[in-house]
This record gives sequence, C-alpha cells and structure tokens, in this order.
Amino acid sequence: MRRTFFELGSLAGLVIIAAVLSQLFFPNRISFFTKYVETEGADGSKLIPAILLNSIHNSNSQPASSDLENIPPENPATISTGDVYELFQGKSAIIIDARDLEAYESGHITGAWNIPYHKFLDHLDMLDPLPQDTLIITYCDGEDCNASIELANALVSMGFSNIRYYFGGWNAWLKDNYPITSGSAQ
Amino acid sequence: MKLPPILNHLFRILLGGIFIYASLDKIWEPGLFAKTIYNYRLLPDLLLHPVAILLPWLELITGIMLLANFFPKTSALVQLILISVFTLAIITAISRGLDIQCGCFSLDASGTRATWWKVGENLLLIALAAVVVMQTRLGMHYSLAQSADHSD
Repeated sequence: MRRTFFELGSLAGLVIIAAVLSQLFFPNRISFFTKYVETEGADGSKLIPAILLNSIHNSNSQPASSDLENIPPENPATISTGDVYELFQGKSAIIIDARDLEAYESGHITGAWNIPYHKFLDHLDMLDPLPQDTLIITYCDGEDCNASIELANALVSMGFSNIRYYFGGWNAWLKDNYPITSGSAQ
Repeated sequence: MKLPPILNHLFRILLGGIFIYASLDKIWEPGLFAKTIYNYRLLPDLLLHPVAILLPWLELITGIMLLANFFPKTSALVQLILISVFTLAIITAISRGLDIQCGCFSLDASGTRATWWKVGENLLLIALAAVVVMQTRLGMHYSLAQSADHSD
C-alpha cells in the first residue's frame, strides 16, 4: 500500500512538472485559470469560457496601446437577438442553423439554412459560392449548446471574415416570438 | 489465472501505446481539449483549463510508464480509473441527448462522436486495463516469491 502511494505521488509529481513545462514552452498553451468572455444569452448577458472562441492561444501577450486602433473587429463575434432580427428584416445576413436536421425541421428561424456543425464538411457546396466577407450568423438551441460557436469558428478558419454567433439561439428567438418556419425548405 | 509472459507484455504495451496515442493531440491543443470537456457539461468552468492541461500529461506519463514497465501496476490502475470515468462521462452525455465529439483520440471536428459504439470500445479498453492490473499484481507476487526462492 505504501509503495502504491509512493508511485501515485511520483506520477502526480511528474505530471505536474510536465504540465508546467508545457505551459512555459508550448505554442498552443492556454492559461491555467479559465478566462471568460461576455456574451448575450436568452436572459441577458452571460459569461462563457473564452476557450469556446478561437482567441485563447498566446493569451498572455497583450497588444501595445499604440496598436489598439489597428485591431481588426472580433471574428467571430457575438450578436444580440435584436441585432439578429434587424438583419433578418433587412435580409442582410445569411442565418445558419447549426443543429441537426431533425431539430431544424421541427422549427427554425425563417429563411435559415441548415448546416449541422458535425456534418459541415458535407455542406461546403452551400458555402463555396459565398463571398468571404458575407455576413453570416450561426445559431443552435441556445446557451446549453455551442454548435453555433463551433460552426462560427469553422467558418472563420475557412476564411470568412464577418461571422457572428447568436448565443441566445433558437430559445431566445422563440421567446421573443420572432418568425419561425418548420419543415425542410431552405 | 496467470497469463503467459508474452501475452502479459503484449497487453501492457498495447494499453500503454493506446494511452500515449490518445494523449498527443490533447497535449498539443489544450484549448481544443478544454472545449471538448466543456461540451460534456459535467465540470464547473473553473476546472476546464486545469483538467485540460493536466489530464493529457497523466495519460502520456502513465502510457510511457507502462511501456517501460516502470510502476506498471499503479499506471495501469490509474488508466483503468481514467477509462472508467471517461466511459461514464460518455454514457451521461448520451443519456442527456448531447450530440458531441468524444475527444477520445482526435480533437478534429470530424473526430469520433460520443456514441454507444464508443462506449463499447471503452468497455474493451476497461477489460484490457483490468487484465493488465491483475497480471502486474500477480507478476509482482510471482517475482517476490521467486526472489524469496533464490535467497533460500
């Protein structure tokens, strides 16, 4: 028993040393403490872990104050229900439902496309014709899912420069009684 | 029952190799791994980063230990506990209707999903780890008995 505890202690020590060293030297390191970003959910603003966005690597390096004006707009960025509705009315953004087909068919934001996040590579033909600066809004159920953020990150990595994720998602849209459609028409 | 030494070594090396392979992507991309852990909705946000940083190293080091036959019993025991916890996490994710990436080996978007099939794979791994734990335990008693014989 004493031997097992000694071995467990040794393993724990090695793990901690290796993890600390990796945090000093690895390019993709993250901070040991969870960082948060503010975003808007169905019930107002909420803090979510920053790792859900692709802005965490080398998070210790801060831009010099002289560079602050040159920082490009955040991409992907969060968007509120009101702003989504405004863009929806003006038909000035493409709205993508990141949930699976079943959820989409049972009800979605009117005019939204369906690209389930984990099958998004199967839908590249829908995205190919779009200019890279197209304003695209992704959403899923709401605060309890993050397919919208995952899809937004994937679109950014494809080169799209104007991506918004609607964190409040379907639940927030329903709550405000905005237009919805059911069925498979896209 | 004690297995032939060749099978013992084979199982130990297989288990160690699987854990080393499973750890590499997570060590290289702790941010993605933290996201994968978040998707399970089991841990408080505060623990996401520490677990994402430490867990892959635990997998790697216990894997190396098993390959090197150094602390084999404890390493296999730790791995047995880890796989059991991972399997429970997958089962709870499926039962809560979460359609998420497993995060078991690859962290790519196209990686394996948390499904019953994955649970089945993990049960095989649990069986493998249990065999390694039992065999290393028996082996330890066996070598102790042998050294006692030699000292006579």
